This record gives sequence, C-alpha cells and structure tokens, in this order.
Amino acid sequence: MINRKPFILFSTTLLTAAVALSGCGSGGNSAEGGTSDSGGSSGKSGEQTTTVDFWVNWGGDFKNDYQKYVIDEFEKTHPNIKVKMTYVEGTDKLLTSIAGGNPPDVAQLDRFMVGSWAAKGSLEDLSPLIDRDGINKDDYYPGVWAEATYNNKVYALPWGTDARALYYNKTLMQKAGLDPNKPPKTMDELDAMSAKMFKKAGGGKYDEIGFIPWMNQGFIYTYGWAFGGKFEENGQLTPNNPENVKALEWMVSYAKKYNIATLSSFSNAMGQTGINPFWTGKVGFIVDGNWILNDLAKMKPNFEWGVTPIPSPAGLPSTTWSGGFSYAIPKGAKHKEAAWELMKFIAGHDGTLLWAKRPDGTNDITAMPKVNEELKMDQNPNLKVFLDLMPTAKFRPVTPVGQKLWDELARVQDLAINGKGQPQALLDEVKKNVDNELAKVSQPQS
Amino acid sequence: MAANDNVAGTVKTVRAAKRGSSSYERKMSLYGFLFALPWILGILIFSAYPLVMSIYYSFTTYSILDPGQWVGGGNYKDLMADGTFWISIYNTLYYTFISVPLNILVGVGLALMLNTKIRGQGIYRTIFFLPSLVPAVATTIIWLWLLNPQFGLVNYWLEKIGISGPGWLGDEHWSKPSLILMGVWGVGQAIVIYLAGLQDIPQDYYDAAEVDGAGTALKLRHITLPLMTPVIFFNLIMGTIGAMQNFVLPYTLTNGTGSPANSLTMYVMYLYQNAFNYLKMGYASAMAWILFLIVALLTVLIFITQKRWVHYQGKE
Amino acid sequence: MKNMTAQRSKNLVTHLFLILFGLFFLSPFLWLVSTSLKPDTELFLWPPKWIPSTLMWSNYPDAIGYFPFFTYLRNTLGITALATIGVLLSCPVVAYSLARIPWKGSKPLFGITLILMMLPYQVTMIPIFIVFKKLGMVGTNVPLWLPAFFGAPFYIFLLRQFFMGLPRELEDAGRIDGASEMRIYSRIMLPLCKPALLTVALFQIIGSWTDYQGPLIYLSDESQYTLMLGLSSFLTQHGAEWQMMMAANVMITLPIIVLYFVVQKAFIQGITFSGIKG
Repeated sequence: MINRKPFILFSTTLLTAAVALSGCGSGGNSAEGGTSDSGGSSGKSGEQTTTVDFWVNWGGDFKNDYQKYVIDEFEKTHPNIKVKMTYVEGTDKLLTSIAGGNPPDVAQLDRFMVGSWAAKGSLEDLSPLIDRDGINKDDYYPGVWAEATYNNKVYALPWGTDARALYYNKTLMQKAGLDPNKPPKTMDELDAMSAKMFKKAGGGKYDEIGFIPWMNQGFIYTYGWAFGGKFEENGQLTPNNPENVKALEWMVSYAKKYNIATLSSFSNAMGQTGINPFWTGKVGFIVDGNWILNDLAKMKPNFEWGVTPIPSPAGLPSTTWSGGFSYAIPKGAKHKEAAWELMKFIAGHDGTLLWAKRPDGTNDITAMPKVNEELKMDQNPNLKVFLDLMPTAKFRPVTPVGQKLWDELARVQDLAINGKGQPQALLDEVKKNVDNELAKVSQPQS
Repeated sequence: MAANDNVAGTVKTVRAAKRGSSSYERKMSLYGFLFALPWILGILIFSAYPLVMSIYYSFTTYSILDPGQWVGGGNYKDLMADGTFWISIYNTLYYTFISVPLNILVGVGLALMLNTKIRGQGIYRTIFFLPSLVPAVATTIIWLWLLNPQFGLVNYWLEKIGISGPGWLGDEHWSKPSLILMGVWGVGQAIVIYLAGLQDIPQDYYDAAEVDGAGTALKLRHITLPLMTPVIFFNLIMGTIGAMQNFVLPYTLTNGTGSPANSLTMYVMYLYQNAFNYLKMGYASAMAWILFLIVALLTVLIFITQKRWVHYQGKE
Repeated sequence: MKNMTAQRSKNLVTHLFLILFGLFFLSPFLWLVSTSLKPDTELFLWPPKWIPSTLMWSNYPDAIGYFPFFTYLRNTLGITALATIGVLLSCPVVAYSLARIPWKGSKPLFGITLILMMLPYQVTMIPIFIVFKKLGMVGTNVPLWLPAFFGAPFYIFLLRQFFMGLPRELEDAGRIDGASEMRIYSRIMLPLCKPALLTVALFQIIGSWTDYQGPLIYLSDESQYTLMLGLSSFLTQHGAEWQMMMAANVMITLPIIVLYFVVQKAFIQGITFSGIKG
C-alpha cells in the first residue's frame, strides 16, 4: 500500500480519453502584457514581457511539436508574450491548483467538461473578450461552439474535434460471402451481415466476430442518436427517450443472441489492453473514431478494410457524434489579457491551421470547417467519411452533470448486456439519478 | 536460558521498584514525549488540518472548484439511498474478507520457504518481489492477457488438464475471484516484512530446540510462528486497511466502470469518481469517514483478538 | 545417508514449488521486457507474442530521447535519498517511544497513527496541498521529502511491531546500568532492528521512486519533474507509445530490482547478527 502505483492516472486518462490538464503556477514576474497590436512598439525599451503559464495534456512529441509548429510562431508575432508550456496529465492537478489559488493562465480542457467546470464558477467568462475582439462563432462547427458555452456565456475556445464511423474488414466480408464493397447501410443489414461472420472455434468460443455493438466507440450515445433518440430536450436531460431505449434493446439483443460471456472474452478483455480488436483481423465491423486512421496507416494490417457511416435503422439519416478539446482560462489566472492573446491565436484560424498542417496531422479534424477546407481534407477518402458527417454531428449535452450522465449510461449499458435489468427501467433510473444530481447543483451558489 | 531467567527476575524486581517512583514515571513521560516529538509535530503540521477539513467537507457540497454549502448530514443521508454505494461496500468487504487471510497464508508460506537455505535464494526472493515493482499499467495488461478466456495462458493450461476455464474478468461471478488472485501477486511486499521478521528470531531458540530433538514441524509451531505473530498482526491490520482501500487495480482493469455488472466497483473507486470526476468532494469526504468507521471497527475487532494470539516478547 | 536423501528430495520439492510460483510472479516483468523490445507493428498481435520477431533495441535510446531522462533521473534520486534519510531518522525513534517507553501518550498516539492510515488519501489530498501552499512550498520538491522527517504512519507501525517483539530484558538491563534512553535506543535496540530498518528504507525508496501523484501535484517546472512524470509523457491523445513506455519502465524498474537483490543479501547477513539476541 505504500507503493502507490504511479500509473493510476496514466491509465485512467489513457482509457477514458477525457481529460484536462494541469501543471503548477509559475511565478509570473511581470505586469499584464500588451495586446498583439502592440507588435510595432515592442522594440521600445521598458516594455515588459508577460509569461503565460500554459498547461497541455500531453508531453513528449506532442509538446515538442506544438511548441515548434504553433507556439514558436505565436512568440514571433507577439514579442511581448512568452509562453511557458508545461505538460500535466489528468485533471487532478488542475483541480488542485484552482483549489489552491495558483492555476495556470491557459489550460487545455476536454470540451466535455467545460459545462460542469463553468457551473462551479471555476472558468473565466470569455464572452466580453469575444465581443470586444469580434471572435466569430460561425468560424467553428455549431456543436463545437455550443460545447464551450454554458448558460449563454462562452467559457472556452474550441480546439480540435473528432467523429465516429463504422470500420469494416473487407477480407472477412469476402470470406463470409459478402460483397466487400457494399458495407451495411442500415441496422438490419449490419445485423444480417455480421451474423454471417461469427465463427466459433473449439470450446464454444468465437474465433471470429461479426460485430459487437459495445466495442470501442459503441455506446448508448452512439446508437441512441443513430436510432433517432435525444439526450436533451427542452432543457431537460432525456436519457430514457424511447429511441434510446430501443437502441439499448438492440445492443442487448446481441448479448442475448451471441451469449454475453463468450462475447466479453473479446470485447472486455481486448479493449482494455490497449489493443484495438479490429487490428487483429478477427472482427468484421467496429465503430471507432477518425483518429484510428493514423494508427491503421502505421500498423499496415494484413487485411483490407474500409470505413462508412454508422448504420441507422431504415429511413433514418446517418449520424455521428463528436468530442474534442478546448482552451480555457481558469479563475484566478494571473495574466488574463496575455492568456487571451494566446488563446485567440492557438484556437483561432492561424494556430489551428499551423497545427493541422504539420506533417503527421493528416487525419485530425479541426474545429474550424474553413481550415479543414483549406487543407483539402476531403481529398482523403477515408477522412471524408467523417468530415461529411460533421455538419450534423451530435454533441453530448452541456450540463453540470455531464460526467455523471456518461458514467451512468456506461453503468446501465453494462448491466443491460449482462442481463441485469430491462433497458427501459435502467434508463429511467439514469434519468432519476442525473435529475437528482442536477437538482443539487442548481441550488443557488452562495 | 537459566541465567537469563535469573537476570529477568532481578530486572523485574528493579522494575517494580522503579515503577513505583513518580520520578521514574516523569522521566519516562518526558522521554516518551521527546522521542515521539517529530511525529507529534508531523501530525500537527501536515495531518491535523486535512483531517479536520475532510470532516468539515463531509457536511458540505464542496466541489474542489467552489466551497459549496453546509448541508448538515445531507451527504450521509444521500449515501444511504445510493445504490452504487451499497454495491461498493459489498464488493469491498467480499474482497477484503477473502483476500486478506489468503494473502497472509500465501505470504507466510512463501516467506518460510524463501528463508530456508536453498540454492538461488536471492533470485527467488527477488522474483517474488517483482510484481510490486512493475507499474500498474503493465500489471493490468498482463493480467488481462493471462486471464483472457479465449487466448489467455491460464485457460490454455486449464484446457490441457481437461478443464474448460471460466470467463474470469469478463464474467461477473469470476471477476472478484480474479481480482483476489491478482492481489496474491502483490504479496511480495508482505513477504519482505515476514522475512525481516524471520531474521529477528534468535538462533539460540532453534539451537535449544534441536538439542531437545525437536523437528521442523515442531520448531515451526512452537518457535517460528509464535515469534512471527507481531509481524503477522501488522500485516493483518495493514492488509485490511489496504484491501478496504483497494483502488488501482480494479480502476485500471475496468477503466473505472467496475464492469462486468458492477461486480468490480470498489469503494475507493467510487469515492474517487465522486471527488474528481463528479466534483463532489463533500460527498466523497462523507464516504471517506464512513469507510473510516468500517475499517476502525474491523481494526478494533482485530485488536481485541490480539491478546489471544499475538506473542510480544517485550510484554510482561 | 538416508537423511541426506530426504533433505535433498525436500529441497527438490521446495525448488519445484518456488519455480512454479516464480514463473507466475515473474510474468509481468517478462511481459514488460518483451513489449519493450517489440517493433510497433507487433504490439497488437493477437494472440500475444512473447518473443518479438526482431528485437528492437532502439526502443531504449528512443525512450531516453523522448523526455529529459537524465535530468528526471537526477531529480528522482534527490527526492528519494532525502525522503529515505528522513524516514530512517524519524520513524524508529517514534516507534521506540510507542513500543518500549512506558508513558501515557503512547496509546492515544498509536491510535492516531492508525487513524491516519484509515482515511483514503483521495480526500486529504486537497487540504494537504493547501497546507503546503500556505507553507509556500508548492512548486518545489520540498513537500515530497520534508514530511518524511516527521514520521510516516506505516513505518512507525511496522517498526513498533518489531520493537514490541524484542525481549524486555534488553533495555531493562541498560536502564539498571543507568544508561540514558537515547543510548539504550541507539546502542541496543536500533542495531537489533537492522532487517526492519532495511525494509523501511527499501519501501521508502520504492515509494519515492514510483510516486506519481505527489510530483504531479507539487512540481510545476518541467526541469524538476521525476521519472514517473516522464513516463506519462508517452501517453498521446488517443493511445500511447507503448514500446517506448515499456522500455522506459524497464530502465526505471531495473535499479530497484538490483537494489532489492543486494538488500536481501544483507537480510541473510542479518541472521548472524540476530545470533547475539535472546
């Protein structure tokens, strides 16, 4: 017990993918810096430089590249602002530093968390600065901007986004007698095609798997939206929306049909080892994000594959959902004005473009449609599948209980596929639990 | 030994005489205090405030990001109605009651074997200590591989001897036993303590016993085990506290979800989620104090039994 | 002769048993080493491959180049050394007071010591941070070693158990001779606890060496970062540089393994010391 295993947080972050960062306050040594407009006057002696304490989520290559491609450029054009970039993994340190009153000036924060952090009054309201400097919210995808907004105030500038789609293994499809160039478009097609691909080995275990709905990026969110469900309506959270219930029932049907215990051996065990089951070549279909394209390019799997939108029930449009990061100024930051200058640059057109056009950023989707066009991302056929979904992409509700809702949905999904309870009752329970939490949060703050 | 008894007799008389004098007591009080002073200061500087604050938080809606409001016993009342809280208590007690005795059994057994004059002793000892050094991420992944129902080595071996292995971590009935098995892997630290304890047993005890013709079993029962009891007692208490706070492995194994079907939702895991994911530090603090009460109760029970089986040479 | 055979077969059984268990205990480390030598195309083979087709030794220099390895190593060494000295100075004295000095405060203080271990770290982390903030130590490595000089409950309890197990005659004889408590402690009792002290030192070294949360929260300048923080830099937005991370892990774990191997030899020497006892 003394040997507090250091990796707790590593894996937490790694596996949950949702994190924001922190580091520790630097002793800022100077007065608030001027704005970028003062560039011409910066040569004057007596002008002080401001050091902005900037925390990012990843070290190593990310930090070096970000410094090289983006921050160095910023410092060139803003000679009176120095950026001290520190990588800090996980949100624990950011939370601690805000509690201790010495947060960084700018922090990279999972956009998903902006709502709940803003609700606690721990992020600076950027709306006045946005109005003053004429930041145009139409430069960003609407959903991405909405995720950075809470109670009509903007608390972060969006940076990067992603989308989900269905990857299919052409080699396995061919083996199962399917046309590898006709991936499923509807849920029924997916069910029928995948059914042909399950192959049992000895001992009643599967050697090859057609599809397991809950593998990788397959969540209630993913299929709730695919089934036309909603998670928020008229200011209310609606996890138990009838279509969401149908989606969960559909997920459960796989657990029943193919025996959950046998499926778990694939999905549970593999997913958490950092192994993407799809790479093994033993999985027909899988829902995953655009970032996997980078890995697939690197891994060069020994099978043919393709990617297509997530199937939806007949008659419904294709959907996807998105997440991503943002930049925010924590309450108590010492150099707000200079921090804002930095944010405007790195989350604005120039910084976004500089980062997205780096040599190995080929499969990233930025939060700004215009930048994506400029880089001709849609000429990459695989990435185009995702890009085309972006304008209608769904976003998780912006709510103080966002994380709770996420975890509750994961919990009941796990219960449902293990045969512990009915989808309707379980999702009703989620509704009750998050509403309870929300009622507590909504009490007037002292 | 006879000579020793004589000395002991004299000492007892002297001690009794000294005990009586209040100057002796005063002197001992002063020494006791002075020797303990670093720790007393340490508690006052580093621990008193956090302890008091965590009690205070438990009565508020403190979120880390804002101070929140005073809610009296509200958090405690909410906990009583929180299903996940009860599941986590059940899982944690289940884990503790099986893994702690099992670890003591395995730990003492291995320590005894590692204490024999066997070839390669140093290498064996190092190997058994290794899992305590390997970072949790590696540990987690290797376990997921070993216990994979489909390709895992464990089921592969079981199949060789004609047993169809269970789903281990993917099967809600086998997930807790799997976790307990992994706990055994971490027994290396306890082994180190047992080995240190074994070094402390005076060789003359064994020499004397051998003169009397005692065999291995007899020596084990009448010398080794009784003299090991203070250290076993220590590992029992620490093992219980540690098991009740089990966090890293279940968290990394299940990615914080406690799956399958909540079977690996451990108490401190849920506490951590409340504190740092849901920003409910007040609620988490209330959980911490309830955990404290449970652990304290178990510890007191263990202390009550202490007189029956723990053998302190220093006791009169 | 018969005795010899019996002894030998007994040894054989012990060996068999230890080897079997040993493989089981060794497997995580073997896996660590195996992964650290894999080309990144072989990381995700299924079923897993234990021996890579080509041994990628270059993962090691790559890992060292990924973050300022030697700076972080030096920082980690410094913190570990100070913290270890700290617990060795403070904990045995306190444990001695709790175990062997008859005074009224020993029981309540022992109770508090236990209580401190029963509260999960997660809830006291923030208030402890605030204490260090008020002491002006946040952003330095002082919070990572200073408390060690004021005792640590786990070691105090551990050493208390060892002191409790020592025969009473020892210090009584000293007290009759009029030796001061300090002298009894340092000349008689402490040397008898060598194995326990080694254990404490070993645990603290491992604790400081592998501590992640402490450095994460208190260090604010990357030039002060420790190896464990360096390890986390192998995490990327959607995954990790596994093979380099594992190579770094091997390099970071190896010194501790060697240290333990050496320390456990000292344990064996401890046997000769304990001959004096009784």
